[in-house]
Amino acid sequence: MSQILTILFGVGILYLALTSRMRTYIQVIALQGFILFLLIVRDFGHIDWFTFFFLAFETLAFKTIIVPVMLWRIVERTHVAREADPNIPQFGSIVIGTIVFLSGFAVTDWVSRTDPSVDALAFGIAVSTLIIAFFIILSRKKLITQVMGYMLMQNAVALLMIAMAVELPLLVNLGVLLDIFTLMFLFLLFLGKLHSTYEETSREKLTSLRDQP
Amino acid sequence: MMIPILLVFPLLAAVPLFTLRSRQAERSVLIAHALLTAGAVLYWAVAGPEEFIGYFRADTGNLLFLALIATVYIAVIPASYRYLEREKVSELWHRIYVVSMLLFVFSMTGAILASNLGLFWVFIEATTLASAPFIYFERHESSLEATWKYVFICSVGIAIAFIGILFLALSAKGVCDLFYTDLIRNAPQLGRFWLLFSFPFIVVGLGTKAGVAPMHSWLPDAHSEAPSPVSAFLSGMLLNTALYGLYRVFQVLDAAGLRREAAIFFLICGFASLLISAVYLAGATNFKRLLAYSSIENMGIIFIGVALGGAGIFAAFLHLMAHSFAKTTLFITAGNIAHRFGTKDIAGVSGLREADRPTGALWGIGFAALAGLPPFPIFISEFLIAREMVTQGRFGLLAAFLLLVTLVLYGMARAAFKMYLGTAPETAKREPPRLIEWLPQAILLLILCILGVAMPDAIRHIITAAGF
Amino acid sequence: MARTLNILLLLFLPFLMLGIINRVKALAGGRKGFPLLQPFFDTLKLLRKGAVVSTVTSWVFAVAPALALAATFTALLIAPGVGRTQVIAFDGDIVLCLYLLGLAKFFQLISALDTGSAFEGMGASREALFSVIVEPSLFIFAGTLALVSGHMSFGELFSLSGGSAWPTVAASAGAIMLFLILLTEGCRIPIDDPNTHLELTMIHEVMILDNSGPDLAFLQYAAALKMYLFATLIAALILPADIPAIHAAFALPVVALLCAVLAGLVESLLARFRISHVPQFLFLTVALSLITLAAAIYFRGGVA
Repeated sequence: MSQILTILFGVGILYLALTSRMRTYIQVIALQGFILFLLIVRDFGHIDWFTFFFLAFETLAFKTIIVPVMLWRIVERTHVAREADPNIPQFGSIVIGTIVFLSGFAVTDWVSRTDPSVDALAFGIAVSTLIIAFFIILSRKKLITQVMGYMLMQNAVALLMIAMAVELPLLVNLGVLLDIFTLMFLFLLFLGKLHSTYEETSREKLTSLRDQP
Repeated sequence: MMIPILLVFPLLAAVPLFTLRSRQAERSVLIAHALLTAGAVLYWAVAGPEEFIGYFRADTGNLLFLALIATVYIAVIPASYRYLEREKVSELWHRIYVVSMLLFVFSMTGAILASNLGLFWVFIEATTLASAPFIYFERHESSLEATWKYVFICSVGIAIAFIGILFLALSAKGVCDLFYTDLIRNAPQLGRFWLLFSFPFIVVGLGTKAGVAPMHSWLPDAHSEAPSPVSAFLSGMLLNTALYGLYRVFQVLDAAGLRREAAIFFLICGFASLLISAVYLAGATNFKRLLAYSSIENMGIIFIGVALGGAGIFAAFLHLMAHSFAKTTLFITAGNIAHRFGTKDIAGVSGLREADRPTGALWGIGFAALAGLPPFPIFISEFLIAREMVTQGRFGLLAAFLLLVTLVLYGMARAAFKMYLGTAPETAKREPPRLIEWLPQAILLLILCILGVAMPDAIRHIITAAGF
Repeated sequence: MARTLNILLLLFLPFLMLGIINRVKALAGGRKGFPLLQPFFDTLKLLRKGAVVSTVTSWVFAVAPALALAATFTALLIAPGVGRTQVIAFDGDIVLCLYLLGLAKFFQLISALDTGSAFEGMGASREALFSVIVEPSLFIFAGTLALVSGHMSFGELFSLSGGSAWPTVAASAGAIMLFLILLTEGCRIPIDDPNTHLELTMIHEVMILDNSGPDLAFLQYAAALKMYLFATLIAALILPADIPAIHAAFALPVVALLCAVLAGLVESLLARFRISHVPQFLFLTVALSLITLAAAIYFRGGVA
């Protein structure tokens, strides 16, 4: 069951590579959050109940509900419905997405030979998601899409934690959650400012500061 | 008892500021916090190490960094006072400045005091969040752009560092938790594959925050757009804070017998930083950006020193300290210059010598200190690094190092002379310089000079201890 | 016994799937919808009518519907039915099955071109374009399974085994891919809209504009059969091999009807894609099949 959930996680990110609608991005991010919640509930029952409760709360309340709602508010405020002209056309995106998945599995193969204790499937999909999130951050021009890429990265990191069964102290988990929440809030604030300053929140507008060698 | 006081004070003190609505109270809190930090450092220096709930620790290993925070903080407060007065900021933004400063220093102190790598990550991310309002402080379009780049690039970088920390935790699974001391003690038992796998992620992630090339792109923008006292803090302390965690991980790899592999990453980052700053310094038209590129260069030198090992480690930390002092001086002075001439362009500034004698002197001497002229300690640290390269027989590295450092020196000297000599433009303000504007920097440079000529054993001991 | 059941299911289940899709859409839209077996009665009615044949068409137009139906039906006899039993089975039957589908498509395309209508030519061109993308993914997927199982017959093809995550990856990625192909080949939203009234937006419907009477019945039955074929493949992929025969007899119809419900839900929730976006969407199937191939290589430690 957890394998099927993990694969769904991966198919979601593959679908993202070919879409341009902000709505879909948010839906996939929320879906991934929910999948993470299910995985935590399934696989993390043995850890102490307070950390367990915290992780379940983080994935369900934060990743599945609060973050998507915040993202949706940014989208509504900045009136960006879709990524109009990405640097790389959509068709290229999905080709690259596929190649990333293939290489992600190759990395996993190498890793799982060295350390069989790692959940190979979840690890491979987490690595692929990370790379695709990076690809989204680098190839899309709208700042809001880059923020989505960042959240995808955070989801991938959470999946990575599950794949490797690494537990961090509760204090650290709490701090991480607080940081990312504040960061989302700052993103929301500054995207609003950027929108009212430039009318359009695109990376191309942010080029006034640079030096010539 | 000093650790909980130091960590709780800025958080508690920030709360009543929102109800008091008094600039006087806000300034007093800031001064109290700075003095408290300095007092805590002195206390630890005298009374020895202290630990708090297992997650925080002040000992000889991080005393240098804590002392630098206290020093830069005290030096920055008069400049902040003048800045807020001169710019006639509104009551709201005055409060934002003070509260952000409290949180910023809090997060840096927390990062240095944290004895767990995961907790360090939390505080490093918090430094980004706490300093974002500063970079937006002047509310131009360009400051908005710089803020966005700063927050976004640093957050992505820090997220990469987190992945690295996860890999490190995997290598330590079943051996120990992510406490530095445990990691270093148990280093030989750590999984070598994952340890090595984690290091590039941590270097890229924390390197972003430390401002080394090729992850430096946020740094010139953020440093030039922030208010000058804050630029001093960013350059003089924030970069060091990121380096501190990176160095701790480096130590873990060193103890696990992976020194050679780890040093390669540091060398690449170090030389890339030297190259980037040498290339861009010559073309910089804004003197705050010039100083920012110089920060990249100096972080590069520190990375190279760490990578070399041996005497290079002492040189790196000496360099780190000297750079903090010199760069704080120069950024605060740059703020005074920008105010007097009404521009941050190098082209718009000339005749500092006659327009403002103390500032001109500070600018000239500060550049001398930064450029590594004797008797300033940067001369000693760069000399030690060069000597270490000769000892190890790495003459190719030595040639590249000397060439790049000379190029940087040329770029900086050109701009410094252009600004120092000549006649001041008519538009420059003619008001007489005030004591508060130059005295703190003068004291910093004086201390630096003394350290270069005759370093007290206590301070030599602190610097040496930072490397262990 | 199982073979007889397979053939019996072929006669009713495809129509029932169409009926269910329609019913799901109707319920989602707040309507009652027509009876579940209405497509079946429609086909019977069409069979009793005469056909009008355009004078400009050649013999191709006359034989194409019958040929298309015969080819599709034969393909279904090869496809794994109840408990993965096939009516016709031999080593290498996968290739025959897939090529029979290709043959049916070929005759439909040239019969559409044969009418000389601009609209039908356009529909044929779109259909051809989509097939070009979908077919490689089917072949890569079938090839991967054949490599892994060492068999070239649908009966043994689906015995997924070995490797930690491989069976799950193959089953779930394959099921998603086959469902996307089912939507494409069954001419459902979001690729094609079977209810559209505007020729410009049609794909499958526009190709059969000129057919009438029994010819039309053949073509519609063939289309329904094709959709059912992919449902049987999904069932073979996700159902375990070792269930009792009596359970298997129920499992296949249940999976097929679930596919129909899912397709109905997709139709209710999504709008049709812009034609220019469809190839991107279809490329997802190629991506999934390639990922299955990669999973076969990496999770099983080789494909042998």
